[in-house]
Amino acid sequence: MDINPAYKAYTNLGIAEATVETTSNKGMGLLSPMRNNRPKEKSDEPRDRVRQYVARIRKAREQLKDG
Amino acid sequence: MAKLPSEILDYPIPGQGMTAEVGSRPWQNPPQYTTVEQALEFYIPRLVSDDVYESLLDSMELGIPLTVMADSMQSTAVMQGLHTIDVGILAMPVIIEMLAYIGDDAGIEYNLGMDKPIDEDKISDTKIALAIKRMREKLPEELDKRDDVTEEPEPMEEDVPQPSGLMARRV
Repeated sequence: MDINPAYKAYTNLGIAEATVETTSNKGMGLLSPMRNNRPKEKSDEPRDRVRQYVARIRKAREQLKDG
Repeated sequence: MAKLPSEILDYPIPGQGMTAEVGSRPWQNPPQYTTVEQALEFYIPRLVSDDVYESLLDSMELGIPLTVMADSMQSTAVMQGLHTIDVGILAMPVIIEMLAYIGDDAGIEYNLGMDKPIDEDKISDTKIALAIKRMREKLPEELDKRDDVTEEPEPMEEDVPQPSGLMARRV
């Protein structure tokens, strides 16, 4: 079936999964691993950058809707 | 052997109109914008420029899906040699989102183009009606005959009270 490539590009971006932040319980003890303090490795792939741009515009759009 | 007129030899070769020297088309040359960011820097100011903005809103009002608009924009840019098709595909989601932003900002109800694609297995009523119409055109007599034949209902047998005497005749 012939589907518009823009539809595919937009839906396959996976913004919904990217915006959901997972909160993990941090260990507060002295000996607990401090993994969360490590800087996250950010991907610099064009696809990821595009995802960021779309998410940013979408956020602005939602703010516009909310007033 | 008859000598061919010289004009025939000057005719274009079949398919010549669809060919061109390599590199003579814009998309056969190195693109002007090589990254997504460069392409977006070209698109976004154009989308909000006065001459494009009004026509965009008109198109949204007409119900043209934003995905179709974004796709045609990037296809045109590829044909003009502004960027490659892969950069265009990458830039499309941002263009769609930007168009949606413009639509929201102007308070227009737009079609994002994300509706469920039409189920091809389901035959629409229009197609069925069209098929019946074609059948009628092809076989008018047979269908008319069938329409004329009306089944007559069989008469119901009435319950006639049977004589119950000893000498009564049984039917």
